[in-house]
This record gives sequence, structure tokens and C-alpha cells, in this order.
Amino acid sequence: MCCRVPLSSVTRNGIPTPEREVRSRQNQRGAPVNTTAGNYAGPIIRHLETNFQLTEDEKGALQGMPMHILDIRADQDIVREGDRPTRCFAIIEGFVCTFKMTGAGKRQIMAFHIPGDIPDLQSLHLEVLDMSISTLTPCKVGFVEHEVMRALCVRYPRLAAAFWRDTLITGAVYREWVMNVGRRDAYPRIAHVLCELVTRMRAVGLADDQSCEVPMTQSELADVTGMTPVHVNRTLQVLRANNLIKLKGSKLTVLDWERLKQAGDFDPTYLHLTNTDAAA
Amino acid sequence: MALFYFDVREGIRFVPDEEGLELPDVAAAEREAAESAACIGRDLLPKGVARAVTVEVRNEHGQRVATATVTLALDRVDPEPTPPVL
Repeated sequence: MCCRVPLSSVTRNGIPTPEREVRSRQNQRGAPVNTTAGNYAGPIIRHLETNFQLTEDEKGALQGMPMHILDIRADQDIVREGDRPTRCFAIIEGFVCTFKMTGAGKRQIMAFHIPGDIPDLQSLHLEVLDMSISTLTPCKVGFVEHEVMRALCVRYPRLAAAFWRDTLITGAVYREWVMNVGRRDAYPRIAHVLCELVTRMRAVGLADDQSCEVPMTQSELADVTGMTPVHVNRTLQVLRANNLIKLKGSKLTVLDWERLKQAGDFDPTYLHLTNTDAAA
Repeated sequence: MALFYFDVREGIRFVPDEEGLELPDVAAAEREAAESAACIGRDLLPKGVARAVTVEVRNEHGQRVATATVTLALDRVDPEPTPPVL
């Protein structure tokens, strides 16, 4: 993670431009590895188990999936709007975001994804991708062919239900983000994004008590919230001055979880984390 | 590309920018200041916490190169007019 741009860095770029001709296949580091998922299925299992108990058989089936492992640098597109993927990918390490660009070239990030997420799961049933997904940090991702996913769903109907539930939750998160960007002021808007990040990271065991990594630069956070980088910086500074958070490099520490939740108008119900105490 | 700092003044609060932002030139910095002042003003001015929001742009040497200020003028008719008698 050494070449990642931390939140406090002066380089708040990372805005994709049309001429950024990048494809995961050409921008990988090292040779791709074709393997069975094995331990790489760990994050997926942890993610699915945030709201659903898997049986040993089902976990074994996920570990037995043929998987194509790829290391991808930061700020690279993994899939793009208009693509017709024949496979889905799960994040094993690192952070990615789902985004769209306006005709005028402005980017709106509509979701961030953490290890265990399968950000383009919809491509299993919707032929053409209606969004792009790019890495925020260096990532290790595991591609699984749609055929494999379909066979898994036929053989293990509870896994099919788990994938279905996962896309429903993705929809719930989008609804919350429309609310956030459309109706919340800057201060609760930023606080809400930080609350969601910490809650999701904690649910999959990636937050150390009240601390976790913030995978976004201020410019990316501006694209998440529909604000300008200056406004994001100002708002983060006020959150710090009010002793709600501490930011050191890319590490976020929540100093007062109850007050941050209140500031962010944050109710984690929409994340549907029923199987974890992080739902509190 | 050059480094610019954007300090924000809003009423009695002053939020200095210690990190800066890389932009192509002063014109781009001025646009960023204008857009930011408008956005911050949209947030704060209707609440009455400040009468004006100013974003001051400094270059990498700390010299001021541009300023953007937004204000909101409210004017209530006093005394409130009584409904006309028909």
C-alpha cells in the first residue's frame, strides 16, 4: 500500500480522464494467477456472513471456485460503463469505487467497496454495465467466470439467495447515498460517509476498534459527496476541531462514535448487518 | 501544475488550508475558490451563522493571488404590511 495517496496528501488528483486508456489486463503487476479461490475466498465469506450464516459446504464451494487473481495498481479502471463482462470480481485486498461521468466530464462516485465486496455482481444478470469501477488503492482482485457463479447458484440455492441479498443491499446503500448527496448539508454528509466506512470495515474485521484506513483522497471524497475539495477540507477540519475524528495520514480515528453518528444522521439499518455486533 | 492554498473565512471562523491543492494555474485556482465559496455559502448563509463566506487563495509562497466572496442579503419589510381591506 506504499504508493497510495493518503487523505492528507497535497495530491488531490486521481480524476479519471477519457484518455486514461487503462484496462486491468494491461495494468496488472506480475503475472495473473489462475487458481481455486481457497484462502482468497476468505474476504468474500466474511462479507456474506455479515448478514447470513453460511454452512461449511457453502464455504467449501466458495473456496473451490476457479478464480483468476490479479494485482492492480491504484487509480485504474477494472471495468467500464458499456462493458459486457463474462465474469465478476471480488476484492481480496484494497479499495475500489463505482462511478459515472457526466457528459461534461465530472465524476460522481456512487459507492466505495472494501475487501469481500463483489462490486459488479449485477453483471451476472444484467448484460451491459451501466457504471465504471476503478481502484482507489493498489488492489488484489479475484475474477470468477459467470458460468462458475451460475453453476454455484444452481447447486447451492442459499448462495444464490446470498448473492441476491447482496445486490439488494447494494441498492439500499445507493438509496442512502442519494439521500446523503441530495439532502444533507456538508457537515452531516461527510460525517455520514465516515460512519458508513467505519461500520462496514468493522463488520468484516478491518477496523481496529474505532480506527480504520480511509482509502480516499480529499478529491475522491469530493466526488463521493458532490462537493469541492476545498469544501471537503474545510468540513473535515471542522469535524476535527469539534473532536469527533482524528486524521493522521490516511488513518481515521473516531474520537466520539455517538456524536459522529449524530452529526452524520447515521442509522446503519440500510447496511443490513444482521450477523454482526457492528450493527450497533 | 502549481500548489495553491485555500483559506476559508466564515463569520468569526477562519479555517486555514494547510495541505493545498495542485491546479494548472491561477485561473483554475480562482474557479475552484469561486465554486467553493458558493458551495460553502449555500450551506452556511441560509442558517445565519455567517453573513459572508470568503475563500482566499494563496500561492506556494503564501502570497494571496485571488479572493472569492459570497454574501446573502436578506431584507424583511418592517413593519409587516397588513392585508389590504377590500
